[in-house]
Amino acid sequence: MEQEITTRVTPISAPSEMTAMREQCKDALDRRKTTFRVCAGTACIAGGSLDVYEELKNQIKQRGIDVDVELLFEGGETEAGASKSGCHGFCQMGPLVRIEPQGTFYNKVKVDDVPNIISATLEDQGVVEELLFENQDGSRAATEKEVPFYAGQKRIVLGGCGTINPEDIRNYFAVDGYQALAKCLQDMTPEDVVEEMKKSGLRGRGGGGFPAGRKWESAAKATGRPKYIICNADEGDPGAFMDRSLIEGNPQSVIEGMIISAYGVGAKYGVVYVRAEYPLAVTRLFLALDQAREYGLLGENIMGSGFDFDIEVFQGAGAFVCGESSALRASIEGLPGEPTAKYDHATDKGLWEKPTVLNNVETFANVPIIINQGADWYASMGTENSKGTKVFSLVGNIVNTGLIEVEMGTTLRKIIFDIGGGIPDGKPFKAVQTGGPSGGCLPADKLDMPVDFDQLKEVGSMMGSGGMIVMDEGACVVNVAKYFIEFCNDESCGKCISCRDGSAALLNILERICEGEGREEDLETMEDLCHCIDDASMCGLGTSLPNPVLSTLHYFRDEYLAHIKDKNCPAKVCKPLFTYEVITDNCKKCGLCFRNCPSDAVIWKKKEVAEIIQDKCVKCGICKEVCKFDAVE
Amino acid sequence: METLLPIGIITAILFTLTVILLIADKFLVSYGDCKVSVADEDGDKEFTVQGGATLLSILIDQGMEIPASCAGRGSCGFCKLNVKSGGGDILPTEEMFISKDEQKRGTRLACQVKVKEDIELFVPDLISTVKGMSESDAFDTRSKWTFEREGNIQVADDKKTPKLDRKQRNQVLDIVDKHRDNPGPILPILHDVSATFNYLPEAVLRQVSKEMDMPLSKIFRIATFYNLFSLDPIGKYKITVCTGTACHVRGAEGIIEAFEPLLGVKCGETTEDMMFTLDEVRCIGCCGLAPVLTVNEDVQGPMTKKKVPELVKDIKNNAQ
Repeated sequence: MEQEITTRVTPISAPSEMTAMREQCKDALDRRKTTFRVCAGTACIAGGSLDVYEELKNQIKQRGIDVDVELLFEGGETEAGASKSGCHGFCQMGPLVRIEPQGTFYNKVKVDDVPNIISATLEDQGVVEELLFENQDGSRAATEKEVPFYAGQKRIVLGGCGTINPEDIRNYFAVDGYQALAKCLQDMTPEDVVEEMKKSGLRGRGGGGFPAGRKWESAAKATGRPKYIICNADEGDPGAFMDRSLIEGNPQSVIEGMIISAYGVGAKYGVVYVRAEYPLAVTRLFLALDQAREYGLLGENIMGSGFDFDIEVFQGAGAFVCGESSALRASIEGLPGEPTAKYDHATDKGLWEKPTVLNNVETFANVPIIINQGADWYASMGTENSKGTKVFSLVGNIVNTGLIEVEMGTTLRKIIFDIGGGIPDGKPFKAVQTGGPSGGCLPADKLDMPVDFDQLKEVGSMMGSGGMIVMDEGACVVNVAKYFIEFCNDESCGKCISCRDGSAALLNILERICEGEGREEDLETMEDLCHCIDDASMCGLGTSLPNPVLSTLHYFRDEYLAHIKDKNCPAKVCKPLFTYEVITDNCKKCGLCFRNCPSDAVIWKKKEVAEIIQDKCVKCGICKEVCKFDAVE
Repeated sequence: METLLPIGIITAILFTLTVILLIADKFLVSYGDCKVSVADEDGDKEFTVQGGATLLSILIDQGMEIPASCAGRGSCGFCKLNVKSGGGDILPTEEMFISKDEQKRGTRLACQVKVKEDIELFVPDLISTVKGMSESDAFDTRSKWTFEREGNIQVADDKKTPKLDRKQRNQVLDIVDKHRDNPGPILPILHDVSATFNYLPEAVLRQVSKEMDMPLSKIFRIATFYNLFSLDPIGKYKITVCTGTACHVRGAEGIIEAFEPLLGVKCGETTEDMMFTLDEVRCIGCCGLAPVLTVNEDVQGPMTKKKVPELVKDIKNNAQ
């Protein structure tokens, strides 16, 4: 018998009531002997996790067990509960299901696996071996803690993602949600809050790395009214999905961070600027805001303290440049998203010419944790100038793709090899690209570098928002540089000639190089061009777009020279610069390549060695893929 | 005394010349009343004016919209219209902007044509003009843009702007009313229009412009700035391939190349039967499943080149 929500919503009328609310919610959760948590992040949903969830609920009901779908505040114990959770971060292995309180962690769950899971958990008190994570040595990891991907992480900001139901605020209450806000309203003055932020050393997580406490302090001192808090959820860096997971997995943590910020700064209105490409995040955000309002945590007289603050959602429309703070504000004001020169700080004259604090989603998610555990605890993690942890999206040619959180100062080697599991098929590591289109590519000799804001900048890259793209020998760095310049050229607002036409000129040169028409002087021309673009551009997009080119020129100059002088692409990516050839010694005359070639470019007769006709070859690579004898190179 | 005489004679000559010029200007140069017949998208109209002024000034006085970014100095070439009769010979100042073909059709620059007799014109609609201008990349001023005339229907391209029916007009009104009091309403309005009509129809934008009292050009500026919006109708199944960095290093380009010959369109285009639109997007945040694509809102991944024909077949089967 499925029971619906039966509890009345009781708004919080004083900070002191939060403790009782937390206990109530915790009890309700504990009343379930077993909980099946199904990951409902966008990636797992794409893999079919919602079907798994529905099947779980149905099958449990069919066995005559009371399934409580939502938290119950009244009533006795229930045998089992099922609920959705946010993104666990291990996207490669989705759909993911976690059993509590055991912590059993199942990967790649299909609808057909559900009966086994239920029997194993509720009847046999055991596990389904095949669905557990398999280590490289063949052993199985029963819980997340034993999975190397998780063992190396420090999941503080992402703590709630994967463990709570993002669609129910009471779950957030049960894990100390809004305790930080209660503490601020009850025991701290706005000045105390700002001081605590400064002491923690929290730096903006969106890429700029500006100290959050200093930003809040300037805004708090500003005289304009009303003041605004903007949350930048326009995560435009390709390859980054940290903010998406946070909003989908634990939106209340971000909201709480914004409310605390508003209290410290004296703001009345908040805006979350979300990308249009994240429809699920938008839906969960709207739901979370409604629930927060129901409980008196947003709107007028928050927790009965007399402090007013509310948040609205503003949807972006597909413009990378709108992630830049002045462009974002222009977009909200109904203008095209073009950055403006910074004559005034946004903390004095920001949105609608009023004092504005603009911070990234992840920055806000850190705030309640800092208030709860203290700035000193937070500052004890990380390096001297980069405190705390950082969420990275580890993607590309890597075994364990997904979202990770590590302490600042962790080395790239640990991230890529220990947590990430290294490169698939044991191929050698070539480069890692950090910081999105504003960052750079780092080679293998930088693997032991600790990851932090300043050190990454020193070697020519950038932390950025946290995208980390790992590349093996099959990636051509010239092609990657071209890709990023093309991206920036597309997304440039067009205001500054250096960015608009400079990126077009860079792209032109890179395209020529990739087509075999590169000239030796191109390298110097590109370097000059890069420095000019950096000097003459008004906003971050322009000043940092040369980074991919400059870093690849610095670390991988030989590859550029191979393209220019030898007209050869070592990674076999730039089509005009390589050919597929049959190694006659290895060819076993099986004809597989001939049968699979989509453009009839292979000559083969029975019992004869195959040959590739270069004129017809479209360089698709299928012949190399299908050859079982390594006879194509 | 001797020096005063030459000065006096010169002054007298100048004075006489001035008087002659004034008389000439008042009587000889007067062209009398001229009838101006104009055909444009709103219908035909006729009015009578004093001859002597330029077409541009006369039409603007009558409240018509003629693009003239150089304010009539003959340096932009935007004020083109079609003079059927009564415009006289084409002037050298116009030839710079008007190709031979256009001249044969009677295209003239409004700022250069002086109305000296009864004159018949056709004026292209403003939006087609602006569209044509923006589509033309040519530096040659003569090929900046042209317009054609087909019978009595005055359009500059062959797609006529359809009018909205009552239901659609009310839908637009609801959207505008919802956001009217918002200090920065245009982007939320465009989002709602896109969600309701599947794209941004020109007729809808014109109505929004009227309702908000906001210039259409400003709305177009915002609409064309953002990648999300389309000014053309989108197919029933929008296949958007993610070309974010993670997807790129895992072969996103190859996936697009696999779709193009199969659907018969290039990336960014819609099939003739309006069934498929192929597009790309820079990262939807599903990097763990790279390479991914979405079919409408449905995320699919990891994709391979081999799966592409199967996907298209599945969609076609489901559609029946």
